[in-house]
Amino acid sequence: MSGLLKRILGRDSNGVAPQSGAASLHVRSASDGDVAGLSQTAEPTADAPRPKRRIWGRQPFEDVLRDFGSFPADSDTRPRPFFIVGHPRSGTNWMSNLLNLHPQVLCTGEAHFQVLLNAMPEMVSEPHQTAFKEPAKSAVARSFQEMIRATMAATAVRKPGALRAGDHTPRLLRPMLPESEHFVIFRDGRDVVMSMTVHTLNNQSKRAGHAIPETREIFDHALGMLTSDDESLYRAARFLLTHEAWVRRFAGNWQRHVLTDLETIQRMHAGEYPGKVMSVRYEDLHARTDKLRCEMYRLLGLDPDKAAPIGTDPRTAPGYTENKTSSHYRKGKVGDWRSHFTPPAMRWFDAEAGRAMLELNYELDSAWVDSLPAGIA
Amino acid sequence: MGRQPSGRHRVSVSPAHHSVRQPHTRPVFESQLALHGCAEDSPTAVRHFFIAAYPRSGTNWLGSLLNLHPHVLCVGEFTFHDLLNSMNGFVSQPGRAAGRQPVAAEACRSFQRLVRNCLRSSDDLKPGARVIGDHTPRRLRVFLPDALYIALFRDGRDVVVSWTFNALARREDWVVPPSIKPLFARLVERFHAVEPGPERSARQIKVASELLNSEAWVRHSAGAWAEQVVDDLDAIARIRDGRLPGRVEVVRYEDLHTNTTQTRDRLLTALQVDPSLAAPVGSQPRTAPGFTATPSEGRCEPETDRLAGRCAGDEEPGSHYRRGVVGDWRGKLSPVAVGWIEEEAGTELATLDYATASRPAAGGLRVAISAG
Repeated sequence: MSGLLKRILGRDSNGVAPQSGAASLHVRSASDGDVAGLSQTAEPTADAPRPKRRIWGRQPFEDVLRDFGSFPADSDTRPRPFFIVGHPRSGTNWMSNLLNLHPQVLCTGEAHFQVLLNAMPEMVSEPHQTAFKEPAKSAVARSFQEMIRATMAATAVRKPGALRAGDHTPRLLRPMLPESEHFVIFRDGRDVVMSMTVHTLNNQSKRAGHAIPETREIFDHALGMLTSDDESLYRAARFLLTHEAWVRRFAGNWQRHVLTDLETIQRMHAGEYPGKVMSVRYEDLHARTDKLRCEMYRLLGLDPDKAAPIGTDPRTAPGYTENKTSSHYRKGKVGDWRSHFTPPAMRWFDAEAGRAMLELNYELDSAWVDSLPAGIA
Repeated sequence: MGRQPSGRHRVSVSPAHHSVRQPHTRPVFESQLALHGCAEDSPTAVRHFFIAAYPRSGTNWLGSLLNLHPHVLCVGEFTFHDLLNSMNGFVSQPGRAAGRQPVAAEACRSFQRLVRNCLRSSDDLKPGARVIGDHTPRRLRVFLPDALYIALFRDGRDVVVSWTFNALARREDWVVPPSIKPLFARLVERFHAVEPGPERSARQIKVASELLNSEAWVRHSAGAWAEQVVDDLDAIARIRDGRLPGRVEVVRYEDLHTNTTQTRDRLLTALQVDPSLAAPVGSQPRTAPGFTATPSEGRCEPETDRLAGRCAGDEEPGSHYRRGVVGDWRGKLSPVAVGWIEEEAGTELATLDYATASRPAAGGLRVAISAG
């Protein structure tokens, strides 16, 4: 594990994981300096080689936005955007519900701005294109940012009095607006794989289940196991989790997502990208829900005392469940994987995602794969 | 990577299985633009236009011709179509925030503002410009509901020839079907290995002729051209009957050659500016047909001053402004190659009034042009 990433995620220099939640909230504003928990963040030295970015796809348009974008005018009174991001099934909805307890926040949905962001490099990356150079390049960057601001402001009309408009698309951290806050939620990858498996079955999503040829047949078989009995969903999920291709695919996707986000966080901390970023572990949000949501309100510049108590909206309480296996809010439990992972699944997971588990302080090493999960015992 | 025809390419090289070519499904977003148009910021608003054509059809030349007017600025190539395609996905997913109102309408207005802002970003190049346009070679796509769209067509046989030289000169490997990539790579090396000198053009033309004898290459290129023609004719029909917003004018490259000033003035009139204010054709570089030097420029040496123009009929195989003549295919394509093109694109050639061995010009397009 890189020393820099250790420090970002709060592991001390001896590789000892902090006490539960003790250093799991890490906030820093590129423009405001430290807000909390990052006094030991290392800045890259001038002569240190810059790590190669692992963003999926083409050269990120974030670079163009950084160099040619703009802050909104002081006179801009529209609700200001913020973003909640994370791997799917990591708690982005829950975090959004928590923030919505504040009367000046509206975080309504998933806009998927990355769809637009991914198209933008096509306009600026070829020398023959007008927007390859100034002044058109700035116009493209600023117009794109204005599109995001206007669209986000339009979402907030549903809550009069909202000063902040949020988006909670589960996606990679991609800084688009220099004035925005970004909340990155991480969740134990084993619980993510379990939740993704159930979610894919629930939605009978062949797009996910058939994404690679090796999982086509087993996914179809698992779908055939589903009956009106809720327990059949878990039987089918456990069946899928006994297959190496299934576990490796979801574990690998999760690790790539996590490592990419960690690197982006590092770049934001280093001032390479503007904007504020705060990372939160799902498990810490479970353990210290009220404290962490107040930190989030403060980062948004809002008074936490104005927020309604947790539980006012039932979908804000930790571990909230609708007691329906088909619900999007299925279980919300920490460590659910222990009831469903087999020893081989643990090994496959560790092989694909062990590094991210260490980076996020979920494990100190790979010794956990030799322990027998409670559910299997 | 250079100019890329927008949309999908058919890679198959099997002949003539396209007896009835259908236009691609058009993104819903385009038709929504009229519903959620954004108001102009000021009553003296700048107007906009878009030239649409298959690559190597004369979009640069037409842009230069329109730029001869003091109130018209055709700035360059913004590839708005990539963003437009993404906008369609962005607003058309019911489960997503942008799939619901009022967010979808705001996304629509924001897209239009982006397009206008980008086009106007270069307006200081011509103070006083009241009409600003874009000449990206691409399919006819609607970006602004109040804009003029100029559909420019060129004989597909000349396009295939020009596209071939362009691919070699710019090493456009991505446009080549997989089956002939090795051949293409060898020809690219030979094309660029030709030393400067009096024989250079002839030797590069000889290299290009080998690619033009490749059935896979010729069929692929002709098929891609024909696909865009079908899509563009569909878009023209949709604009004219109101299913898509905007206004449309149709121009053939060959007519622009024959009646340059007259055709240009027709377009200037459609752009709602006074054609009599435009500078004469040929008064600026690269505005005379074939990019020839005007007599007043008194030179015929393109290698020493390429901006000024060249002698009529001169050819620079490695230049983006290679030749610019009508019917160049007659000296570049073998009868067999012409047959491949006619099998792949004969219907579309005839529709556009280009006579082939098996189909006489129908005259339908001329009617359509006049109707516009």
